[in-house]
Amino acid sequence: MAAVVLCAAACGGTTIGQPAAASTSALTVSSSAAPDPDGLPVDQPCTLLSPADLQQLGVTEQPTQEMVGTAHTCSLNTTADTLGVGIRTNVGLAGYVAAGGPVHDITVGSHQAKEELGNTGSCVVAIGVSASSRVDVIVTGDGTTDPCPTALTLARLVERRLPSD
Amino acid sequence: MTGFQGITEAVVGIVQAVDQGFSLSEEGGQPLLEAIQELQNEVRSALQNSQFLEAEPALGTTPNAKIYKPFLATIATDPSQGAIPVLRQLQTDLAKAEQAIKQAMANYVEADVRAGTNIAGSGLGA
Repeated sequence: MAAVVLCAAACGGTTIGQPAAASTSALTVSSSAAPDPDGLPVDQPCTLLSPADLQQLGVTEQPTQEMVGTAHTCSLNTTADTLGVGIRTNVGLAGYVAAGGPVHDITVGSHQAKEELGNTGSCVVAIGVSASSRVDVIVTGDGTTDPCPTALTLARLVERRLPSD
Repeated sequence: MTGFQGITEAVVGIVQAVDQGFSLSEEGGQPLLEAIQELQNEVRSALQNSQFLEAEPALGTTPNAKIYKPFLATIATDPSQGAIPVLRQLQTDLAKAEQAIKQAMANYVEADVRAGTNIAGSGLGA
């Protein structure tokens, strides 16, 4: 992570009304984010993905970071899906709130996780980091295809940069 | 809610028209497709944020939380008036509209080719 470059444009906050270039080649990742006590980059959630990850996922627009509720989120768009990564430091995996679908206990890399197809049609993979923190990966498709395979791919990419639980 | 119902009815009308041969040129159809795709992105984003909010930590068991909780769930997920079912219906309608517009554009190309073939066959195009 030491060699990665600051992402002033790629990972900035939400900028309304300012179109950004679609190229992902210019996207870089910062290592300067101040981590929380669990080692999560709460101020820079997009740094959980590298530029190569973005290309692999087919991201077509600059990622945006914002707070959604109490989650520090990074939102990404592909031509078919909206992808999100949300860092939560106020609740762990045990506090996962089901959203209408059956919840499956799974393992992602070395982390325990839960997978659910929610009532919004979105697929959630919640990855436990500590008793009081987790990372939620959410993929929302066009309503005609199963978003869970993409969510699992995204979860595996994110999990590689998470501290051990 | 009435406005969203109107969208559903409009999409049904477009699909029926296309089934009966309604056609659109490339110039006429492409802006419609772009508008539909832009709206699809917005709907996906709204559903995505809803999912993040649904995963918020439980409110707990304080007296105030007990009062809020059932209403918060109802606002989002009520089958007839909640935001999420409406957004999902809109998502379905937009997918149908996109397919119908694409079919209408294909109809236009097909009609154009057929007309060209007829003109060539009649000898008027020479």
